[in-house]
Amino acid sequence: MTAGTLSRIDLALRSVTPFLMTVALILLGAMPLSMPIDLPITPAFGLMAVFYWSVYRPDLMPAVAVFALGLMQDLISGALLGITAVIWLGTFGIVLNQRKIFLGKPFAMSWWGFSMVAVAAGAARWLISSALAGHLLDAHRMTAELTATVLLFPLAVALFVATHRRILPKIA
Amino acid sequence: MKARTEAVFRFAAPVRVAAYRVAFFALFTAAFSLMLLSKAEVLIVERARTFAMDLLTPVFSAVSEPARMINSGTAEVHNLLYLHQENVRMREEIARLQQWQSVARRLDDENQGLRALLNYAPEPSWRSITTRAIADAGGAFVRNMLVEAGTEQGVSKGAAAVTGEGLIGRVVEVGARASRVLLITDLNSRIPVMIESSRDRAVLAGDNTVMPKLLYLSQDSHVNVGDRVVTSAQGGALPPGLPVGIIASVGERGIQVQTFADWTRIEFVRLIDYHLPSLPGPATAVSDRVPRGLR
Repeated sequence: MTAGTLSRIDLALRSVTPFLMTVALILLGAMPLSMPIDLPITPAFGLMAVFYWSVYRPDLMPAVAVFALGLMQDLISGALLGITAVIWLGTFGIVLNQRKIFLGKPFAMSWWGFSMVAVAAGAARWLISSALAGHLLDAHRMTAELTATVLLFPLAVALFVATHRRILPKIA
Repeated sequence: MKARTEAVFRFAAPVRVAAYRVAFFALFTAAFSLMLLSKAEVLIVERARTFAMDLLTPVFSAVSEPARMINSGTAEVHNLLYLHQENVRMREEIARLQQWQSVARRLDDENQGLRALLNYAPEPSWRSITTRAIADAGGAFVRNMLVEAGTEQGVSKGAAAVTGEGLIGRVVEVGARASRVLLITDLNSRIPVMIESSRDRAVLAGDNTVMPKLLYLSQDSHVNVGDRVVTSAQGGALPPGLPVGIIASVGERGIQVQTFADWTRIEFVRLIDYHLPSLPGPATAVSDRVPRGLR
Protein backbone atom coordinates (compact mmCIF):
# COMPACT_ATOMS: atom_id res chain seq x y z
CA MET A 1 0.00 0.00 0.00
CA THR A 2 1.44 3.33 -1.01
CA ALA A 3 1.50 6.44 1.10
CA GLY A 4 -0.95 7.97 -1.36
CA THR A 5 -3.57 5.29 -0.79
CA LEU A 6 -3.14 5.56 2.96
CA SER A 7 -3.63 9.29 2.96
CA ARG A 8 -6.69 8.89 0.72
CA ILE A 9 -8.21 6.41 3.18
CA ASP A 10 -7.31 8.77 6.00
CA LEU A 11 -9.01 11.64 4.20
CA ALA A 12 -12.12 9.57 3.49
CA LEU A 13 -12.39 8.53 7.13
CA ARG A 14 -12.02 12.11 8.28
CA SER A 15 -14.68 13.22 5.81
CA VAL A 16 -17.31 10.81 7.09
CA THR A 17 -16.64 11.74 10.73
CA PRO A 18 -19.55 14.23 11.00
CA PHE A 19 -21.93 11.63 9.57
CA LEU A 20 -20.71 8.85 11.87
CA MET A 21 -20.78 11.16 14.87
CA THR A 22 -24.40 12.01 14.14
CA VAL A 23 -25.21 8.29 13.89
CA ALA A 24 -23.63 7.82 17.33
CA LEU A 25 -25.62 10.74 18.74
CA ILE A 26 -28.87 9.30 17.38
CA LEU A 27 -28.09 5.94 19.03
CA LEU A 28 -27.23 7.76 22.26
CA GLY A 29 -30.66 9.39 22.17
CA ALA A 30 -32.29 5.95 22.34
CA MET A 31 -30.48 4.77 25.46
CA PRO A 32 -32.74 3.66 28.31
CA LEU A 33 -31.31 6.11 30.85
CA SER A 34 -33.55 6.61 33.82
CA MET A 35 -34.58 10.18 34.44
CA PRO A 36 -35.09 11.89 37.78
CA ILE A 37 -38.46 13.19 36.56
CA ASP A 38 -41.49 11.39 35.25
CA LEU A 39 -41.19 12.69 31.74
CA PRO A 40 -38.62 10.86 29.64
CA ILE A 41 -36.88 13.51 27.58
CA THR A 42 -34.76 12.92 24.52
CA PRO A 43 -32.88 16.04 23.44
CA ALA A 44 -32.73 16.30 19.64
CA PHE A 45 -28.99 15.66 19.28
CA GLY A 46 -29.47 14.85 15.61
CA LEU A 47 -30.93 18.28 14.92
CA MET A 48 -27.95 19.94 16.63
CA ALA A 49 -25.58 18.02 14.39
CA VAL A 50 -27.54 18.82 11.23
CA PHE A 51 -27.58 22.50 12.17
CA TYR A 52 -23.89 22.73 13.06
CA TRP A 53 -22.54 20.88 10.04
CA SER A 54 -24.81 22.59 7.54
CA VAL A 55 -23.63 25.97 8.83
CA TYR A 56 -19.91 25.28 9.15
CA ARG A 57 -19.10 22.34 6.86
CA PRO A 58 -21.97 21.72 4.44
CA ASP A 59 -19.49 19.90 2.18
CA LEU A 60 -19.35 17.11 4.78
CA MET A 61 -23.10 16.96 5.43
CA PRO A 62 -24.83 16.67 2.04
CA ALA A 63 -28.61 16.43 1.68
CA VAL A 64 -28.36 12.66 1.09
CA ALA A 65 -26.67 12.25 4.48
CA VAL A 66 -29.36 14.34 6.20
CA PHE A 67 -32.04 12.22 4.50
CA ALA A 68 -30.37 8.96 5.58
CA LEU A 69 -29.88 10.19 9.16
CA GLY A 70 -33.52 11.28 9.38
CA LEU A 71 -34.70 7.88 8.16
CA MET A 72 -32.44 6.16 10.65
CA GLN A 73 -33.86 8.27 13.48
CA ASP A 74 -37.41 7.31 12.43
CA LEU A 75 -36.61 3.62 12.11
CA ILE A 76 -35.21 3.61 15.63
CA SER A 77 -37.85 5.77 17.27
CA GLY A 78 -40.78 4.02 15.64
CA ALA A 79 -42.19 7.37 14.54
CA LEU A 80 -43.80 7.71 11.13
CA LEU A 81 -41.07 6.79 8.68
CA GLY A 82 -39.92 9.96 6.93
CA ILE A 83 -41.20 12.62 9.34
CA THR A 84 -37.77 13.35 10.80
CA ALA A 85 -36.21 13.20 7.33
CA VAL A 86 -38.71 15.84 6.16
CA ILE A 87 -38.05 18.08 9.16
CA TRP A 88 -34.27 17.75 9.06
CA LEU A 89 -34.14 18.31 5.30
CA GLY A 90 -36.28 21.42 5.77
CA THR A 91 -33.91 22.62 8.49
CA PHE A 92 -30.94 21.85 6.28
CA GLY A 93 -32.42 23.75 3.34
CA ILE A 94 -33.19 26.86 5.41
CA VAL A 95 -29.89 26.86 7.31
CA LEU A 96 -27.87 26.37 4.14
CA ASN A 97 -29.48 29.46 2.64
CA GLN A 98 -28.91 31.57 5.74
CA ARG A 99 -25.55 30.21 6.90
CA LYS A 100 -23.69 33.45 6.13
CA ILE A 101 -25.50 35.08 9.06
CA PHE A 102 -23.68 32.75 11.44
CA LEU A 103 -20.25 32.46 9.85
CA GLY A 104 -17.58 34.36 11.78
CA LYS A 105 -20.09 35.65 14.33
CA PRO A 106 -19.92 35.03 18.11
CA PHE A 107 -21.36 31.81 19.47
CA ALA A 108 -24.38 33.55 21.01
CA MET A 109 -25.57 34.29 17.48
CA SER A 110 -25.47 30.59 16.52
CA TRP A 111 -27.19 29.66 19.74
CA TRP A 112 -29.97 32.14 19.09
CA GLY A 113 -30.25 30.92 15.48
CA PHE A 114 -30.36 27.32 16.60
CA SER A 115 -33.10 28.10 19.13
CA MET A 116 -35.21 29.59 16.35
CA VAL A 117 -34.57 26.57 14.14
CA ALA A 118 -35.33 24.14 16.97
CA VAL A 119 -38.62 25.88 17.74
CA ALA A 120 -39.57 25.85 14.05
CA ALA A 121 -38.63 22.16 13.75
CA GLY A 122 -40.61 21.34 16.89
CA ALA A 123 -43.63 23.26 15.66
CA ALA A 124 -43.41 21.48 12.29
CA ARG A 125 -43.29 18.08 14.01
CA TRP A 126 -46.23 19.00 16.21
CA LEU A 127 -48.28 20.23 13.24
CA ILE A 128 -47.51 17.22 11.04
CA SER A 129 -48.15 14.74 13.86
CA SER A 130 -51.39 16.52 14.78
CA ALA A 131 -52.54 16.63 11.15
CA LEU A 132 -51.89 12.92 10.73
CA ALA A 133 -53.50 12.06 14.08
CA GLY A 134 -56.58 14.11 13.21
CA HIS A 135 -56.57 16.27 16.37
CA LEU A 136 -54.22 18.62 18.20
CA LEU A 137 -51.74 16.68 20.28
CA ASP A 138 -50.54 17.35 23.79
CA ALA A 139 -47.29 19.29 23.42
CA HIS A 140 -45.96 19.14 27.01
CA ARG A 141 -43.23 16.71 26.24
CA MET A 142 -42.37 18.49 23.03
CA THR A 143 -41.81 21.74 24.96
CA ALA A 144 -39.69 19.98 27.57
CA GLU A 145 -37.59 18.40 24.84
CA LEU A 146 -37.19 21.71 23.07
CA THR A 147 -35.94 23.33 26.25
CA ALA A 148 -33.48 20.50 26.87
CA THR A 149 -32.32 20.65 23.25
CA VAL A 150 -31.66 24.40 23.36
CA LEU A 151 -29.90 24.19 26.74
CA LEU A 152 -27.67 21.30 25.68
CA PHE A 153 -26.68 22.89 22.37
CA PRO A 154 -23.45 24.52 23.70
CA LEU A 155 -22.28 21.15 25.01
CA ALA A 156 -22.82 19.50 21.64
CA VAL A 157 -21.14 22.42 19.88
CA ALA A 158 -18.06 22.03 22.11
CA LEU A 159 -17.83 18.44 20.85
CA PHE A 160 -18.37 19.47 17.23
CA VAL A 161 -15.79 22.26 17.42
CA ALA A 162 -13.19 19.90 18.87
CA THR A 163 -13.87 17.47 16.01
CA HIS A 164 -13.89 20.29 13.52
CA ARG A 165 -10.44 21.50 14.59
CA ARG A 166 -8.65 18.22 15.17
CA ILE A 167 -10.08 15.61 12.85
CA LEU A 168 -11.75 17.14 9.84
CA PRO A 169 -9.86 17.68 6.59
CA LYS A 170 -9.19 21.32 5.79
CA ILE A 171 -11.21 22.89 2.99
CA ALA A 172 -9.05 22.74 -0.13
CA MET B 1 -3.34 24.72 -15.35
CA LYS B 2 -4.78 26.84 -12.57
CA ALA B 3 -6.47 29.18 -15.03
CA ARG B 4 -8.03 26.23 -16.76
CA THR B 5 -9.42 24.80 -13.55
CA GLU B 6 -10.93 28.15 -12.72
CA ALA B 7 -12.58 28.29 -16.13
CA VAL B 8 -14.08 24.84 -15.60
CA PHE B 9 -15.34 25.93 -12.22
CA ARG B 10 -16.94 29.05 -13.64
CA PHE B 11 -18.80 26.93 -16.13
CA ALA B 12 -19.59 24.04 -13.77
CA ALA B 13 -20.66 26.00 -10.70
CA PRO B 14 -24.20 26.98 -11.83
CA VAL B 15 -24.78 23.46 -13.16
CA ARG B 16 -23.70 22.01 -9.84
CA VAL B 17 -25.91 24.38 -7.88
CA ALA B 18 -28.88 23.41 -10.06
CA ALA B 19 -28.08 19.71 -9.62
CA TYR B 20 -27.92 20.18 -5.83
CA ARG B 21 -31.29 21.91 -5.84
CA VAL B 22 -32.90 19.14 -7.88
CA ALA B 23 -31.39 16.48 -5.63
CA PHE B 24 -32.56 18.34 -2.51
CA PHE B 25 -36.15 18.61 -3.74
CA ALA B 26 -36.15 14.99 -4.89
CA LEU B 27 -35.04 13.88 -1.42
CA PHE B 28 -37.56 16.13 0.28
CA THR B 29 -40.37 14.76 -1.88
CA ALA B 30 -39.18 11.21 -1.26
CA ALA B 31 -39.21 11.75 2.51
CA PHE B 32 -42.65 13.32 2.37
CA SER B 33 -44.11 10.50 0.26
CA LEU B 34 -42.52 7.96 2.55
CA MET B 35 -44.22 9.62 5.50
CA LEU B 36 -47.64 9.33 3.85
CA LEU B 37 -46.95 5.73 2.82
CA SER B 38 -45.95 4.96 6.37
CA LYS B 39 -49.18 6.51 7.63
CA ALA B 40 -51.07 4.11 5.36
CA GLU B 41 -49.26 1.24 7.15
CA VAL B 42 -47.73 -0.36 4.12
CA LEU B 43 -46.22 -3.76 4.84
CA ILE B 44 -42.83 -2.86 3.42
CA VAL B 45 -42.43 -0.03 5.95
CA GLU B 46 -43.03 -2.45 8.78
CA ARG B 47 -40.53 -4.88 7.24
CA ALA B 48 -37.96 -2.10 7.01
CA ARG B 49 -38.48 -1.25 10.67
CA THR B 50 -38.17 -4.85 11.77
CA PHE B 51 -35.00 -5.23 9.69
CA ALA B 52 -33.44 -2.09 11.18
CA MET B 53 -34.43 -3.23 14.66
CA ASP B 54 -32.71 -6.61 14.20
CA LEU B 55 -29.67 -4.94 12.70
CA LEU B 56 -29.27 -2.52 15.59
CA THR B 57 -30.07 -4.92 18.43
CA PRO B 58 -26.42 -5.91 19.06
CA VAL B 59 -25.44 -2.23 19.14
CA PHE B 60 -28.20 -1.30 21.57
CA SER B 61 -27.51 -4.38 23.62
CA ALA B 62 -23.84 -3.45 23.98
CA VAL B 63 -24.40 0.26 24.59
CA SER B 64 -27.26 -0.25 27.04
CA GLU B 65 -24.85 -2.10 29.36
CA PRO B 66 -23.00 1.05 30.52
CA ALA B 67 -26.33 2.90 30.65
CA ARG B 68 -27.60 0.19 32.97
CA MET B 69 -24.49 0.52 35.13
CA ILE B 70 -25.00 4.28 35.43
CA ASN B 71 -28.62 3.70 36.39
CA SER B 72 -27.81 1.10 39.02
CA GLY B 73 -25.02 3.35 40.33
CA THR B 74 -27.38 6.26 40.91
CA ALA B 75 -29.92 3.88 42.46
CA GLU B 76 -27.19 2.58 44.79
CA VAL B 77 -26.32 6.08 46.04
CA HIS B 78 -30.00 6.82 46.57
CA ASN B 79 -30.40 3.57 48.52
CA LEU B 80 -27.49 4.36 50.83
CA LEU B 81 -28.86 7.80 51.55
CA TYR B 82 -32.32 6.60 52.46
CA LEU B 83 -31.46 3.23 53.96
CA HIS B 84 -33.00 3.83 57.37
CA GLN B 85 -36.26 5.33 56.13
CA GLU B 86 -36.55 2.59 53.55
CA ASN B 87 -36.08 -0.06 56.22
CA VAL B 88 -38.86 1.34 58.41
CA ARG B 89 -41.17 1.61 55.41
CA MET B 90 -40.40 -1.97 54.37
CA ARG B 91 -41.17 -3.36 57.84
CA GLU B 92 -44.55 -1.66 57.82
CA GLU B 93 -45.18 -2.89 54.30
CA ILE B 94 -44.29 -6.48 55.21
CA ALA B 95 -46.66 -6.43 58.17
CA ARG B 96 -49.43 -5.12 55.96
CA LEU B 97 -48.74 -7.59 53.18
CA GLN B 98 -48.67 -10.55 55.55
CA GLN B 99 -52.26 -9.81 56.43
CA TRP B 100 -53.11 -9.61 52.75
CA GLN B 101 -51.30 -12.88 52.13
CA SER B 102 -53.51 -14.73 54.57
CA VAL B 103 -56.58 -13.13 53.00
CA ALA B 104 -55.36 -14.16 49.52
CA ARG B 105 -54.71 -17.75 50.64
CA ARG B 106 -58.17 -18.04 52.08
CA LEU B 107 -59.80 -16.53 48.98
CA ASP B 108 -57.76 -18.75 46.67
CA ASP B 109 -58.90 -21.87 48.53
CA GLU B 110 -62.47 -20.68 48.41
CA ASN B 111 -62.13 -19.85 44.70
CA GLN B 112 -60.72 -23.31 43.90
CA GLY B 113 -63.55 -24.93 45.81
CA LEU B 114 -66.23 -22.89 44.07
CA ARG B 115 -64.68 -23.52 40.65
CA ALA B 116 -64.71 -27.26 41.27
CA LEU B 117 -68.32 -26.98 42.37
CA LEU B 118 -69.33 -25.12 39.20
CA ASN B 119 -67.22 -27.21 36.83
CA TYR B 120 -65.57 -23.96 35.60
CA ALA B 121 -63.72 -24.19 32.27
CA PRO B 122 -59.97 -23.92 32.92
CA GLU B 123 -58.24 -20.61 32.23
CA PRO B 124 -56.35 -20.40 28.98
CA SER B 125 -52.64 -20.94 29.35
CA TRP B 126 -50.10 -18.12 29.49
CA ARG B 127 -46.57 -18.17 28.24
CA SER B 128 -44.24 -15.64 29.59
CA ILE B 129 -40.79 -14.53 28.54
CA THR B 130 -38.71 -12.16 30.62
CA THR B 131 -36.40 -9.91 28.70
CA ARG B 132 -34.33 -6.76 28.97
CA ALA B 133 -35.35 -3.32 27.69
CA ILE B 134 -32.50 -2.29 25.42
CA ALA B 135 -33.67 1.00 24.01
CA ASP B 136 -36.10 3.63 25.11
CA ALA B 137 -36.98 4.69 21.61
CA GLY B 138 -39.73 7.09 20.72
CA GLY B 139 -39.84 10.85 20.68
CA ALA B 140 -42.11 13.72 21.52
CA PHE B 141 -45.12 12.07 19.90
CA VAL B 142 -44.29 8.35 20.06
CA ARG B 143 -43.78 6.18 23.09
CA ASN B 144 -42.23 2.78 22.60
CA MET B 145 -39.45 0.58 23.79
CA LEU B 146 -37.21 -2.06 22.27
CA VAL B 147 -36.78 -5.33 24.14
CA GLU B 148 -34.18 -8.00 23.53
CA ALA B 149 -36.39 -10.94 22.53
CA GLY B 150 -37.99 -11.80 19.21
CA THR B 151 -39.38 -14.72 17.24
CA GLU B 152 -36.28 -16.77 18.16
CA GLN B 153 -37.32 -16.54 21.80
CA GLY B 154 -40.98 -17.21 20.97
CA VAL B 155 -42.39 -13.70 21.17
CA SER B 156 -45.45 -13.07 19.06
CA LYS B 157 -47.22 -9.91 18.00
CA GLY B 158 -49.83 -8.67 20.44
CA ALA B 159 -48.20 -10.06 23.58
CA ALA B 160 -48.75 -8.02 26.74
CA ALA B 161 -45.69 -6.37 28.25
CA VAL B 162 -45.65 -6.04 32.03
CA THR B 163 -43.21 -5.03 34.73
CA GLY B 164 -43.45 -5.94 38.39
CA GLU B 165 -45.83 -3.05 38.90
CA GLY B 166 -48.24 -3.56 36.03
CA LEU B 167 -49.00 -3.41 32.32
CA ILE B 168 -46.75 -1.16 30.25
CA GLY B 169 -47.80 -1.96 26.69
CA ARG B 170 -48.16 -4.48 23.90
CA VAL B 171 -45.77 -5.93 21.35
CA VAL B 172 -46.39 -4.34 17.94
CA GLU B 173 -43.36 -5.41 15.91
CA VAL B 174 -41.43 -8.62 16.22
CA GLY B 175 -37.98 -9.14 14.74
CA ALA B 176 -35.76 -12.19 15.01
CA ARG B 177 -34.03 -11.11 18.22
CA ALA B 178 -35.83 -7.92 19.24
CA SER B 179 -39.35 -6.57 19.51
CA ARG B 180 -40.93 -3.19 19.81
CA VAL B 181 -43.40 -2.59 22.63
CA LEU B 182 -45.96 0.16 22.09
CA LEU B 183 -46.40 1.75 25.52
CA ILE B 184 -49.88 2.41 26.89
CA THR B 185 -49.11 6.13 26.96
CA ASP B 186 -48.61 6.26 23.16
CA LEU B 187 -51.22 8.00 21.03
CA ASN B 188 -52.03 4.84 19.12
CA SER B 189 -52.40 2.56 22.12
CA ARG B 190 -55.89 1.16 22.85
CA ILE B 191 -56.20 -1.43 25.61
CA PRO B 192 -59.44 -3.15 26.72
CA VAL B 193 -59.71 -2.61 30.48
CA MET B 194 -62.24 -2.70 33.29
CA ILE B 195 -62.74 -1.07 36.66
CA GLU B 196 -61.78 -3.80 39.10
CA SER B 197 -64.51 -3.24 41.69
CA SER B 198 -67.49 -2.54 39.43
CA ARG B 199 -66.36 -4.68 36.43
CA ASP B 200 -67.37 -1.82 34.11
CA ARG B 201 -65.59 -2.13 30.77
CA ALA B 202 -63.73 0.65 29.02
CA VAL B 203 -60.87 1.30 26.63
CA LEU B 204 -57.62 2.76 27.90
CA ALA B 205 -56.34 5.21 25.31
CA GLY B 206 -52.90 6.82 25.36
CA ASP B 207 -52.81 10.54 24.65
CA ASN B 208 -49.09 11.31 24.75
CA THR B 209 -49.17 12.34 28.42
CA VAL B 210 -48.06 10.19 31.35
CA MET B 211 -51.72 9.64 32.23
CA PRO B 212 -53.77 7.73 29.65
CA LYS B 213 -57.54 8.24 29.47
CA LEU B 214 -60.51 5.92 29.82
CA LEU B 215 -62.84 5.93 26.82
CA TYR B 216 -66.20 4.35 26.04
CA LEU B 217 -67.17 3.83 29.66
CA SER B 218 -70.92 3.24 29.85
CA GLN B 219 -73.04 6.22 30.95
CA ASP B 220 -74.48 4.64 34.09
CA SER B 221 -71.17 3.48 35.54
CA HIS B 222 -69.78 5.20 38.61
CA VAL B 223 -66.08 5.80 38.68
CA ASN B 224 -64.30 7.12 41.74
CA VAL B 225 -60.82 8.47 42.13
CA GLY B 226 -58.65 5.67 43.48
CA ASP B 227 -60.50 2.79 41.75
CA ARG B 228 -58.15 0.17 40.34
CA VAL B 229 -58.07 -0.40 36.59
CA VAL B 230 -57.13 -3.85 35.27
CA THR B 231 -57.06 -5.45 31.82
CA SER B 232 -60.19 -7.18 30.61
CA ALA B 233 -60.36 -10.28 28.48
CA GLN B 234 -62.51 -8.47 25.95
CA GLY B 235 -61.27 -9.28 22.47
CA GLY B 236 -59.24 -12.17 23.81
CA ALA B 237 -55.99 -10.36 23.32
CA LEU B 238 -54.81 -9.83 26.87
CA PRO B 239 -54.94 -11.95 29.99
CA PRO B 240 -57.69 -10.53 32.24
CA GLY B 241 -56.83 -8.90 35.55
CA LEU B 242 -53.35 -7.52 34.84
CA PRO B 243 -52.97 -4.39 36.96
CA VAL B 244 -52.85 -1.20 34.88
CA GLY B 245 -53.32 1.75 37.24
CA ILE B 246 -55.70 3.71 39.41
CA ILE B 247 -58.18 6.42 38.49
CA ALA B 248 -56.39 9.71 39.15
CA SER B 249 -59.03 12.23 38.20
CA VAL B 250 -62.56 12.34 36.86
CA GLY B 251 -63.53 15.62 35.26
CA GLU B 252 -63.99 17.81 32.26
CA ARG B 253 -60.89 16.49 30.56
CA GLY B 254 -62.06 12.90 30.83
CA ILE B 255 -61.07 10.13 33.18
CA GLN B 256 -57.33 9.99 33.70
CA VAL B 257 -55.50 6.90 34.87
CA GLN B 258 -52.29 7.00 36.89
CA THR B 259 -50.38 3.94 35.72
CA PHE B 260 -48.75 1.58 38.18
CA ALA B 261 -45.69 1.26 35.96
CA ASP B 262 -42.77 3.47 36.95
CA TRP B 263 -41.76 4.95 33.58
CA THR B 264 -38.50 6.31 34.90
CA ARG B 265 -36.86 2.95 35.50
CA ILE B 266 -37.91 0.03 33.35
CA GLU B 267 -35.13 -2.52 33.09
CA PHE B 268 -36.75 -5.91 32.68
CA VAL B 269 -40.01 -6.60 30.94
CA ARG B 270 -42.15 -9.73 30.99
CA LEU B 271 -43.94 -10.52 27.74
CA ILE B 272 -47.10 -12.54 28.20
CA ASP B 273 -48.55 -14.52 25.35
CA TYR B 274 -52.18 -15.29 25.92
CA HIS B 275 -54.05 -17.85 23.88
CA LEU B 276 -57.72 -18.60 24.09
CA PRO B 277 -58.29 -22.37 24.01
CA SER B 278 -60.59 -22.19 20.99
CA LEU B 279 -58.04 -20.30 18.93
CA PRO B 280 -55.13 -22.10 17.36
CA GLY B 281 -51.87 -21.01 18.88
CA PRO B 282 -48.32 -22.19 19.44
CA ALA B 283 -47.31 -24.77 22.04
CA THR B 284 -48.65 -23.99 25.48
CA ALA B 285 -45.64 -25.03 27.55
CA VAL B 286 -44.15 -22.28 29.64
CA SER B 287 -40.98 -21.12 27.98
CA ASP B 288 -37.98 -22.80 29.58
CA ARG B 289 -35.49 -20.51 27.98
CA VAL B 290 -33.69 -18.25 30.38
CA PRO B 291 -33.57 -14.74 28.96
CA ARG B 292 -30.07 -13.47 28.38
CA GLY B 293 -30.41 -10.69 30.86
CA LEU B 294 -31.04 -13.10 33.71
CA ARG B 295 -28.44 -15.73 32.98
